[in-house]
Amino acid sequence: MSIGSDRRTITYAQAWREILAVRDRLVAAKVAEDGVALLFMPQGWDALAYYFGAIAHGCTASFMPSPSPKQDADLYWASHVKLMARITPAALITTAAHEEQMRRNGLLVENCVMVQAAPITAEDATGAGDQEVAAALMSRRDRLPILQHSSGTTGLKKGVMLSNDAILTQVESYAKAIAATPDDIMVSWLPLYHDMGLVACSLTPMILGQTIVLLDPFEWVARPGTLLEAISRHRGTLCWLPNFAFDHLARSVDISRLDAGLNTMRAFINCSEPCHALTFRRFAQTFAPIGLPETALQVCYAMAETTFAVTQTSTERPPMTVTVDRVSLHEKGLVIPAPTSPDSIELLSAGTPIEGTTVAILSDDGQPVPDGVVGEVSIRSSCLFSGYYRLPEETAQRLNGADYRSRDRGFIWNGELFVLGRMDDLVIVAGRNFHAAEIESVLNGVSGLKPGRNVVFGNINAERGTSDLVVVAETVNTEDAAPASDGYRGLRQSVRHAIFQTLGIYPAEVKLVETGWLIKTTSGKIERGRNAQKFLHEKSQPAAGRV
Amino acid sequence: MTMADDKFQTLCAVIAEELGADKALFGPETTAEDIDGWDSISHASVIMAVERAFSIRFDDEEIYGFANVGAMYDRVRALTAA
Repeated sequence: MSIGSDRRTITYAQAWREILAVRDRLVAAKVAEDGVALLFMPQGWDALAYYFGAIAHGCTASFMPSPSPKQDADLYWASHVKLMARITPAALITTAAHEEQMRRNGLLVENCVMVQAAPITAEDATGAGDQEVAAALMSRRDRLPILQHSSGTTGLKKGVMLSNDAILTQVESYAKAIAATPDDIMVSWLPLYHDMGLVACSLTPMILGQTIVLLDPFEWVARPGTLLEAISRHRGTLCWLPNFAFDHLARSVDISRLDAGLNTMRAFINCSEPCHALTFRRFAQTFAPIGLPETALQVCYAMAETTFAVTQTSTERPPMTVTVDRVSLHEKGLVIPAPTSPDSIELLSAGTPIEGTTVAILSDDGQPVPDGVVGEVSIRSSCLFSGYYRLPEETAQRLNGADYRSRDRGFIWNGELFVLGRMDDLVIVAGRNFHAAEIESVLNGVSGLKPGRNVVFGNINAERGTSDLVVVAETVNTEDAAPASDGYRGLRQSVRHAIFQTLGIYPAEVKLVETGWLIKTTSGKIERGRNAQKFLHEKSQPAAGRV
Repeated sequence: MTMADDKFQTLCAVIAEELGADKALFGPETTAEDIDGWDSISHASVIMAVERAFSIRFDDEEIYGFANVGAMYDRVRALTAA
């Protein structure tokens, strides 16, 4: 059993010694034992060693994303100040490169210790500390060792509190659902700050004692074929990916130039954004010639609030699909099976609940609806979170005793769950969640746009297999809303720059419009849904003056 | 038009085609910020399309380091001259 990448491979015994060495460092640095440790570290085993070392020390640990190389680091860190004031971490664990930037931008709050995550050497990793105390502390079921943060950088970022009890229950139940064994070999490029990267691809395989192969996310995006080569080289059996990644692989990888076989794979599990049947077909067609087994493409419905998995399809057979009438589904919320045609839509099952979890579909007034009727997915689970860290109101809105209101829309059909998308303003782009309101607040700071007169929404892009982020904003000067003008081009670039620098994502489309374009409610609130419809309607119309 | 101009025009055409954008939008100073739909994921497709078109391979470390289309062109020129 081992953990690592092609660069460094270590055994579990060595991993444990390094975790204890990190714990000793945190003791020496006088990090408060019961505080929150936030880790801003690059992907790899060292990050996991510091993460588990913090937990072994008694901390609640949380991986946080670092700015990408092209983001303005000062702007990025400054946007975290509000978050630090709420969390009041006991330790910021980071690299030398980030440390000075974080200090300069006021992230080091009172009683917080900055810990430089220096590489762990063989001398450090003697495991001389009290191993029994650390092991007992790490596994106490009532502890809250993990804070899993949602996307975003401002005060809207929420920390999902997870107990050991929830984590261990999840691992046990989910392992049964996918028939996981210690012999499985898990290969992942997913970032550790993402719940799928952390829970499915690190915590679960570590608790089960599986072999873990971790790749760098940036390297994977640039060279997607490296994932398949790693699977082939390490004889991988399990891999979790968001839907867009299946499309990215199918579109980008030329199998004639790839030295890889996928015949060892038990499951590629599609998770963390709506899953599309078309995506699976493209992936299967592309990779069947290099040994992709017919039963390997599977679906999981998961979220940080339930530790990870809620439902999972069977790894014994391809997932169920149902083709339904599009209008009935979208306008009436009814599932009416229909033959394949431009008026129908093929939907992919997310499977059945894992052990200890049940799912109900609720109407707008919170009442259960029959099978085949669309409503909100409500979850009752033995692995639910313990609340959002220091956000009692947000916790009360979503967590009702043993029930969690997901804000996802879906339905039950033939005993399986189908998930359609979000009810609220969450936009899921390439597996990452963004609150539209947070992006809109960034737009309010762009000079040349009318503050508060903008709207952001997601638009499904079937080719890319994810949602496109769309921005529509009213300009201060009417001439800047003319697409051919220099003002338009400059302002659009400013919008893309501002969003990327703050959130690390580029919008797919930016439309600048004159004052009065956006539809408002009678109370003056901008209606996201109606404005999205208006945008799509205008986009579908031929340009004036053209046939 | 020189051969170098030809190569630059080909590069712009390949990038524009991959992004579904108007080729006229591209010049040496163009960056991802100027073009709708040019993000880290589509950038990977752009890189692969450029590599295929010119039968070259960029170093993994440089893929996300090009300051603009002109910088990518300089690298393409160096790799094709080799």
